[in-house]
Amino acid sequence: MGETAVLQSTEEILDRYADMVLRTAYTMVKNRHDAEDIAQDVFVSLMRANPTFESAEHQKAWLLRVTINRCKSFLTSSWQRKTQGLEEALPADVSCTPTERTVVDAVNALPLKYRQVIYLYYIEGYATAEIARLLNLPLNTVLSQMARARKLLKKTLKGEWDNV
Amino acid sequence: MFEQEYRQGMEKLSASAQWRTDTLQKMQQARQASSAPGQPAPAPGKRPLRVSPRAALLCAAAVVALLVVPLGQWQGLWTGASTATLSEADAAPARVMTAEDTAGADTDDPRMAIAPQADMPTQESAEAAPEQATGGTGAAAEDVPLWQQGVLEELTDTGFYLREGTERTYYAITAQTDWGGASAQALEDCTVTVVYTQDADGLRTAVQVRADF
Repeated sequence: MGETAVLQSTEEILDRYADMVLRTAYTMVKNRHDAEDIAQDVFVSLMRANPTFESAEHQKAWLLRVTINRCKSFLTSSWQRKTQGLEEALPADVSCTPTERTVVDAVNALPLKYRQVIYLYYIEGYATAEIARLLNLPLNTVLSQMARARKLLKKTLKGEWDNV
Repeated sequence: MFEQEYRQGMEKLSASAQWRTDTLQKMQQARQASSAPGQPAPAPGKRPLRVSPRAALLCAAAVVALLVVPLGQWQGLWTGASTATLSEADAAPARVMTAEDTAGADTDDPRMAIAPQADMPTQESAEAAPEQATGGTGAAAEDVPLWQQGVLEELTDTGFYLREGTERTYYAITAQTDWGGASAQALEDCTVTVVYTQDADGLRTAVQVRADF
């Protein structure tokens, strides 16, 4: 997180953040097709809004926040609630080991509020305080959600998760 | 550690080349559209403000309402202030005029201060027997120029009664009372306009008496 240069080029922005936005959206909506649509919408919004960022970290946080908000809107949309969303495990074209696939599926099986904090903590490397700011939640809420998520994962995976 | 497995599994999920090409194209189109001439530059760190026509209309209505109400109040205050100013000026303590002062005074000025006369009746004496009231208290009359229309009735040595509808009011007269060139007797039973002053005790003193023809 030491980089401070804000990316301006469209290609650079997409190269740097495409996977992050896609993975965040996938973690939230658990469907690659929907995640791609949401991720595309997020990048187009970035171009339209053209906000001025103070740092690369600010830019990354903006993208994450907008992605999470778009996913929540998508999940709470009337269309989504009326039609059962097509949940899928990691796509078949993703070459994962059975263990990796099992763990990803276990995280995806968690309630939304738990999977988003697990994703931000373990994949994006945010501290709990940063997650609290990003999700606009009290720190204690984030800490309790992390603890419950780990407890559920331990139960599901019947093994050691992480004692952080 | 499952943490490591989770990280590795998620890192293998990446955007496809097709998606990247499609998204890049849409991003460039959006950037061109947002930077087209006529598009205002967004403020640093802020999204460009978009206001719907309905919201704009409501804002305009609110602004008009906020302006109209204080303007109405201001107008009322201004009117009240001008009245108050006039009243203040008129309510200024009357200057006790001497005979020399009044000799060359413009008696047409209804706001002319009236010097208390020795034969001016007090309110009490006027109420008791207005036509008999003589000998004022010596206090300076409060100079409040007012006017009243009515029928001049019952002229006495010290004043007259003015009938306004069903009411009769006594008006004292002085040597300075201006009758408009006519004699007091000539105006009896005529409809007149009386410009008068009223002192603190409520006694009215006629300054001008003009017949309404």
